[in-house]
Amino acid sequence: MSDELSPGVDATETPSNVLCVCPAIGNAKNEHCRDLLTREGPPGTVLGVTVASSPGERMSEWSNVIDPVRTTLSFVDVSHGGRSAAMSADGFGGQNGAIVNVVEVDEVDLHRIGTEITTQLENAEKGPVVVCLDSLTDLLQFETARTLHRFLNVLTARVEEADAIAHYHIDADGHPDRTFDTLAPLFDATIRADSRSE
Amino acid sequence: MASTQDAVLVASPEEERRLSITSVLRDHWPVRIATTLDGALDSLDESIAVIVIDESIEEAPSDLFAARLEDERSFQILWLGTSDGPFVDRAEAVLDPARVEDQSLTIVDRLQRRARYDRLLTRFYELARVRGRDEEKATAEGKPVATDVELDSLKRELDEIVAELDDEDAFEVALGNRPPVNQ
Repeated sequence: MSDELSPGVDATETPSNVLCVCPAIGNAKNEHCRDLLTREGPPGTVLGVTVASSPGERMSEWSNVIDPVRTTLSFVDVSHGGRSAAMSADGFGGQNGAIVNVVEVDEVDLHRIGTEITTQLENAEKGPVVVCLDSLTDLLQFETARTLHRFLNVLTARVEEADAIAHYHIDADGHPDRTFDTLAPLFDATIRADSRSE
Repeated sequence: MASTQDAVLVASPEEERRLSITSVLRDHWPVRIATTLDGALDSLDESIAVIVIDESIEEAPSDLFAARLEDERSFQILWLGTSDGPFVDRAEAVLDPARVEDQSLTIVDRLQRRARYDRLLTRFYELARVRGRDEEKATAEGKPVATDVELDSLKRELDEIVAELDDEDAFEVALGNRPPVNQ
């Protein structure tokens, strides 16, 4: 595994935006996800952005580190239609009745996804505010690299403005190295857990 | 401070309108004028950030919108006229001719930020792609990637500009959507 700070980023500060390059299959992705969620201690607010995975799957992966009763959980869910905007976490397998806000986006509409995320960031009341986007690989199936790059420029800036911290998953085995190298300047740091990082 | 890519092109056949808007804008940005659509198209170059098109211009300004798409240009279009004209929905903003004195500065300033953001996003992506191509070679040679410093500087500049744009403007510019913006 390797951690790499972008040029100009103070090593003593927690990076606001982290690119997390891990194989989609295996434990590394979820282990890093849990670490990144709790870098600043127990998060007050977690915003998950799910494209291929579901909110329930993410919550299941986070169950050891997130207490949904103490942490405000929200999702911008791009993968499924027809879910209500606010529903009990019991709908995801039982989480002590915690209320989880789920905003459904029925298609990969980056404008809508972006404004939903920024709205959630603006409305977050409890810090630290942590964002997990899963994943850029899925977005790249629907959008060009150029469009996604421009979208992430806005999103990473908004995360920093909100004093939130975010990580963005991408499948280490799903893209050529130049894709990661092109994306890296958007982020304060890149975490790699694949054969290239060894 | 004015850059070399922030000129405003005012295209109007009506002298009084041209004078009223240029008198407001010229203290802030370089202003060019055109009296016809052909004249406006001839004046288009990299220095133009905002084009003000008067609804009374004789020809339909389709070529202007086409030129922007074909050349992937960053200039923003301000429609000078009523908000229900046929090309309003393809312009970034609409300015009521009766409000030139009190609104044009604010609207053009916003459009300048949008145009600048668009240009810098394009530059940032181009440089990042170069970095993507050069990274492997530079790593093998033990050299820093030449574009990293410029990328870092550009990212800071982008973050400063986007902080002055609302979410609608920021995502519109980034994603290339151009819904109507009525002022």
